[in-house]
Parts: sequence; C-alpha cells; structure tokens
Amino acid sequence: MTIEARTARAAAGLPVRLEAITVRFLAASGQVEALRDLSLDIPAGSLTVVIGPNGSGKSTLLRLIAGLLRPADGQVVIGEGTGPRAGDGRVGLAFQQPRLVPWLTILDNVALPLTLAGTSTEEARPRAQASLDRVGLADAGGLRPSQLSGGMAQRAGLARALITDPPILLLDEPFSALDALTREAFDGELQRLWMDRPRTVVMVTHSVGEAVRMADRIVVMTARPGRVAQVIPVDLPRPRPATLASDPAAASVDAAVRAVLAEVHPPELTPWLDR
Amino acid sequence: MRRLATTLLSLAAFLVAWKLLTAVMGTPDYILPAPEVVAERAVRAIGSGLLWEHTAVTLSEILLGLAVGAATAIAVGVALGKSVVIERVLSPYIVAAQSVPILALAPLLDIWFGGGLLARVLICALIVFFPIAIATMVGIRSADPLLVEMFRSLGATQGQLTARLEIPSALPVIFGGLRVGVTLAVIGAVVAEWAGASSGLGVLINIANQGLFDTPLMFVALVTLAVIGIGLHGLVVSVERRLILRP
Amino acid sequence: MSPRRLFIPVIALLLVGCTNEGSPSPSPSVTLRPVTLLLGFQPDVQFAPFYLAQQKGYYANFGLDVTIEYKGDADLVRLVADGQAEFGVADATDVMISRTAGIPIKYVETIYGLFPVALIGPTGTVPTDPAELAGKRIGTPGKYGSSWHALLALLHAGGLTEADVTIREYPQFNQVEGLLNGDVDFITGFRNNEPLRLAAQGMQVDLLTVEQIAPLPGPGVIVGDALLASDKAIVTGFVAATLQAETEIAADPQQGLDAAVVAVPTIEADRDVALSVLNATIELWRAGASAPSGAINDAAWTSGYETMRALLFIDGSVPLDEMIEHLVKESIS
Repeated sequence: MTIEARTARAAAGLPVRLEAITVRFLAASGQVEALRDLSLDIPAGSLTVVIGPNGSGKSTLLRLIAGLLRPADGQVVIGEGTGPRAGDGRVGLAFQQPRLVPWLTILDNVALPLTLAGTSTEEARPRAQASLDRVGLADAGGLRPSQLSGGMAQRAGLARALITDPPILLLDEPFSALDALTREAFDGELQRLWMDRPRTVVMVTHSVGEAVRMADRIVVMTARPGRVAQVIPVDLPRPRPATLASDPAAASVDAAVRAVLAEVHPPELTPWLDR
Repeated sequence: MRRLATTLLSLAAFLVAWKLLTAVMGTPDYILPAPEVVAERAVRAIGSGLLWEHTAVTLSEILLGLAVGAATAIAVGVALGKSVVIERVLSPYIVAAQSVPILALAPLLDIWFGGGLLARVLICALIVFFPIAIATMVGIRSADPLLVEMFRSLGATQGQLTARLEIPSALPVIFGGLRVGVTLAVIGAVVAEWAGASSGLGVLINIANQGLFDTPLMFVALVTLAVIGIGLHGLVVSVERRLILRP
Repeated sequence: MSPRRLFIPVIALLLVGCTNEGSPSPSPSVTLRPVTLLLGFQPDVQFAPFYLAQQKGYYANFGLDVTIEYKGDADLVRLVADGQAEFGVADATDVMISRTAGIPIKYVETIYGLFPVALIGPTGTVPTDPAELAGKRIGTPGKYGSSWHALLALLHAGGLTEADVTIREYPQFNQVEGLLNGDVDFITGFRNNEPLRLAAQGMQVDLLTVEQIAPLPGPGVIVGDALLASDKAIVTGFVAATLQAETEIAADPQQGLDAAVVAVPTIEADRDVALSVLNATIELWRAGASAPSGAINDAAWTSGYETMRALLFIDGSVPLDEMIEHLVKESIS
C-alpha cells in the first residue's frame, strides 16, 4: 500500500496499542530495563500526553511507536494489527531539537521524508511548501537552518513531521527548549492544527501545565523500569486558552496529576529544604 | 581583492628575504642562486620548452595519482568509518603501509608495475592514500547522532544514510585530508620519478644537479614544484568553499 | 675566516685524532695543515694512491694532513669550488660542464691516463666502427656523467645520435645484469670493473674504447680557483705527493693493496678481486707508458672539449685554458 493510500484511509488517525511491552538496552552500567510489562491503549484521533521525569521511559515509548526500537517482549500494534515500520509515512516524529540538516534549505528539509521514500524533488517541494504554510513559515523555504530562530526551527521540524499527513503524530517534548510564552502560543497552534485535521497525537512533556492544556488523556509513567502508573482523562472543553490554569476544573486535573507524580516519584519531587 | 594583495605582499617579502640572504651570505650561484638568477634561468627554460616538457609529465602523475588515491581513500575511509570490524581488520595493514618509507618502496613498485606511468601514478596514489582515508573515516564517524536518528526515523537505508548524511557531514574533515594529500602528491610524484623515470620535474632536478651542474635550473624545478603544490592546494580550498556551507 | 670555513678544518682536526693508526706521526717540529680530499661514492681499492700517500707521510712531507671523505660527484665539485674542501677527484667531462656553468674549479693533475669508461659487449659482438651501433640496445646508469658523455661521443663519431639506439637506464648501476640476461646488447662500464664482474659471471667481453675514436681525458685532481690563487704551493705539494704514491703502486701493486686494506678493512675480505681491480686500474693510470705521468693530456683535452661542444654539453663560452692548470711538467702529446 502506498503512503498516500494508507494515509487516505486513516483520515482521523490510527489507534495504537501497546501490549505487555518490555524494552531492554545496554548502557555503560550494564543491562537496563527501560520499560517493563507496559500496556497502553491509545484511541484513534485522541491527543494523549505522557508525563514523568527523566528516565521513566517516555522517549523510549515514542521510539517504539515510531519503529526505531523493537521490544524484547510484547508487541506494538498500529491500526488494524500491523507493527510499526520507520519511514512508511504512518507516523510523524518531531524531536526536542529541530534536527534539521544544516546544508539543506528549509524547504528541502521539510521535503526529506518524501525524497527519502523515493518521491521526486519536483513533486515533493510543493507539498513541503504547503506544510510550511500550515505552520506559518510560508516565506522560510529558501532559508537555511542556521538562519532560523529556535521557535521557527522547531516549527520547521513539525512541518517535516506533518508532510506525509500521518495518521499518528509523535512529539518528544517539542517545545521544551523554547521560552514559556512561546511555548504556550505553540501549544495553542498545535491544538488548532489537530482540531482542523484530526489524527492520533502522542506528546511527551515534563510540564503538568502543558499536559492539562493539551491532553484528552494524561498518561503518568512510573520510575524506571517504566510502566503506566495511571491514565487521567481530561474532559475540559476545547479550544483551551492559555489562561486555563485559573479554571477550577483544570486545577483539579492539575492536582490529580501531581498527586500521582508525587506518589510514583517521591525522591525527585521533594522540596529542597524542610520548612 | 584584499586576499590577492596580501598574497602578493607576502610573495614580495619572501623574494626580498631570499635576495638579502644571498647578498649577506655571499653564497655563489652554484650553491644558492639569487632570485633574479633563478628567474632568468626560468625564462630560458620556459622559452626552450624544457620546463613545460618536464612539468607536463609530473602534472599528469600528480593529477592521476590524486584521482586514484583520493577515490580509493574516500571509499575505504567510508568503509572504515561505518564498520568497527572493518577498521580493526584493515588498520594494521594501512598503518604498516604508511610507516614504510615511500622512498624505499618506490623502486620496488616501479619494478613490479613495469616502470612506466602506471607505476608512478600508483606510488603517488599510495602516498596520498593514508591522510585522506583517515580523514574520511573520522569525518564519517563525526556525523551528528541526532541527525542519524532522525534519518532512521524516516526509514532511510544505510546507503541513503551514507550518501545524504554521513558523507556531507564528513566533507569538512575530508577536505582537510585533501589539502594534506594534494601537497603529498607533489612529493609522491618526485619520489616516483627518482625510482626510475626518464622525464619529469624530479628527473629535471637530477639532470640539473648531476648532469648539468646547473644549480639555478635545479631551483627552477623546485620553484615549479612549489607553484604546483600551491596551485593545487588553492584549488582544493576554492572547491571546499563552494561545497561546504559556512554558517 | 667565515664560520663556514672553520667547520671543515675543525672536523678534520677531530678526525685526525681517530683515523688510521697506520699513519706515521708528523715530525714534531712542523704543524701540518689539515686539508680535506673528496672522493666519489665510497672507499675503494682504486683510491690506493691517496691512502698510501697519507699513510707513508708523503703528504706530510709537503706539510699536509689529508682527511678523506666520500661524496656524490655533483656535491664534490661544488664543495671544492666553494672552499669547503681543498681537493677532489672528478671526471674531466664534468669539469668541462661545471666550469662552463660557472663553478670555479680547475683540473690540475691526471690520475687516469686512459678514459676509464668503455662500451662493453659479449666477445665477438662489439663493432670497431661505432656506426654499426645503430639500432642496438644499450644499457647505461643514466643520462648524465662520464659514461653518458662517452657513449654519446662514440655514437657521434659514428654519425649517430641517441635517437638511433635504444637506451635503457639502470639507476642502481646494475647494468651488467641487463647484459647478462640479454635485455641489452651492450653496456657502458668501467674498464677496470665491469669486465671483471662479467668474467666472474662467466661472460667474456670485448671493449670499444674512446682513445682511437673520440678521445676524452680521464678523471683527475681538482681544486678551487681560490685555493690555487692563494696557496699554490699546497696544491703543487699535494699533486707531487699523489704522483709519487701512484708511481710506487704502479711499480709494486702489493703496496697499494696493503695501503687500501689499512684504510678500508673490508677490502681484506676479497683481496684477490681487489688486486685484479687494482692491476687493471694501474693500466688505466699508465696509459701504456712506463709509469703514470700525472701531466695533463692536452691532445685528449682539446679533442674532448670539441667533442663535448659538438654534443652540446658545453657551449664554448668558457675556454679550455680556464679549466686546466699545468702543474706537472712534461705534458704528453
């Protein structure tokens, strides 16, 4: 099935199911279990936020879904019972850093997923331009990555992730390197993009506020070896403004999340000094 | 424009220093000729066609040796860079080949390969191989791992990874190796000629020195070799400037 | 004295302390002047006269303490001209070329009365008329030096040029191998060397020499113009002492062999070969006379000068009489 046909069928996104996943890798200190016996259902078209401190396996989770890792045990199922395969156009991945190729123009950077899959540059470039338009970088195509600000570069990375119109979009702390105000603005834009064109979104973050602003469901991870501690539904209406923090309903979700975090990762979240 | 001016100025300073040295030391022309003596001899050598006859030979050895040596070195360097196993297997031989003085190997290679242009091109290629191969290997390994992961996430094959990420990433280091290699190619051509050629600038040095007792002519050959080296190096630098992005 | 010029005498002084237990100590009342003699390539039995003259004190009789060093021909000529060494032994044809190129040296004493290089080939194949060399394959070390000059002189006398024969170069000086395995028809070689080596390998050879066809002067002693102008007495003394030793060895080769062994102990390992080389060498010194004369062979020089001019090795801008100095009486004509 071509990328185009597959993505046409999955207009509202694909569901993702992780069944009893165990992931091990070899670190300098020896064998490490990043995830152990983790199971999670991600409904099609939902915006799921995964939260937890460093080392809880959040990024590993994303890479599993992207097809960059294979589990030692268990399986990942995308859509109707197939495993993930990197580069098949069903999954778009945006990283914490823009990860743009320095010697290519922004346009060619965004076109990269298509050109690597065999599409000609003549065909790929207009589609890359359209993707840039959607993230508000219509005039940046001819620039080089070094000429972009941090926020623009991050948006370009997002445009690249969206160029195949993937039914699943994975975001690994996409805005954590930006300042707080820009971050709030980008969260809002991302939300708008998703509402215009629904797809399954899985987003990893450290920020409880961001999780509450963005998520349909918040997945709280345990410490290593990671599994799901709790899934907290967020039934707040959309679109959710940046001032959400003051809304009492939001505040209670915020508190619920923090309670689980405190339970699961007490040492990191304890105040520095005894009062 | 400023670059040209500084080059000319430094060249003038060099010539003045040279002239001063010969004047102060009082060295005779058959030991250290003054620059104008060398220049006059050069004019005669150019006019008689002697200089071009030998320069053409050496230039062809250098260019062919560079082409063969650099191409092989980059290919081997990519293999070394991508596979730790290959590096472990090949390294001892590559280092050994580099450590044996080329001056000792050249006569053997000359005999094995029939003593003609092929032998000299191979000797030249051998001498440029090592720095370019190592530079390529280091450059390939220096590709940003974050970009490597990004490429993998897009389903890139090993070939696409090598061609579209690793090699372009390695270009600055590869060009560093090429700069060194280009000057070594000049040395390699001369060493190859000394192993048994009948024409070329290396041969001209010998003819001038031993046959003609013409020290100024020997210096003309040396200066020509230097000019070739400078010219090739400048060529590499200008290609580098065109190919490699400077942010 | 410039610092450069002090260097060689100082080194010579140091070397005097460590060389040659065989050399007799000079008479205590005379301080000897240390001088350097440059000989080509490496120690050899052919340099016996110099070894003998130093060991028997002939140089000391003229107030000289001679230290011998070995250099390549090209450097040798330049070092003597520049005064970094006092004496050297060089090929006459190289003297013509270097003097024309502006290097201020003069040839003052003949060591080899006969030109030592000849064309060598298997017995029965060597023509007496050089015109018959057309189309042959000839091996020679390289396109420079006395072997090359002699070869081209022979060809020229036969109306031929380099283009009429096939030249094969042997930069490692192993052209005998080419003759033995048939890669070439003839080779250039030294009359007191290659024929002996070939005979030892089982090949008898004939020679085509230059004397009757295109006479060239043989190697001899050279000095720089400056030394000749400032210290002619030293030069005549050196020349006389050398001639004395050469004459003695020509009469009694064993003396020469013994002196050579003292100076170059490795010769001991093959005394017989060394003796045959020395005997052949003595014939070249004597050139058919009863004893070596050392005098400059004007006929050979004049003819040789013209030949080198015809071959375009020299352009005639420097006249012959600037290249030689007649220090030894009675020139042979």
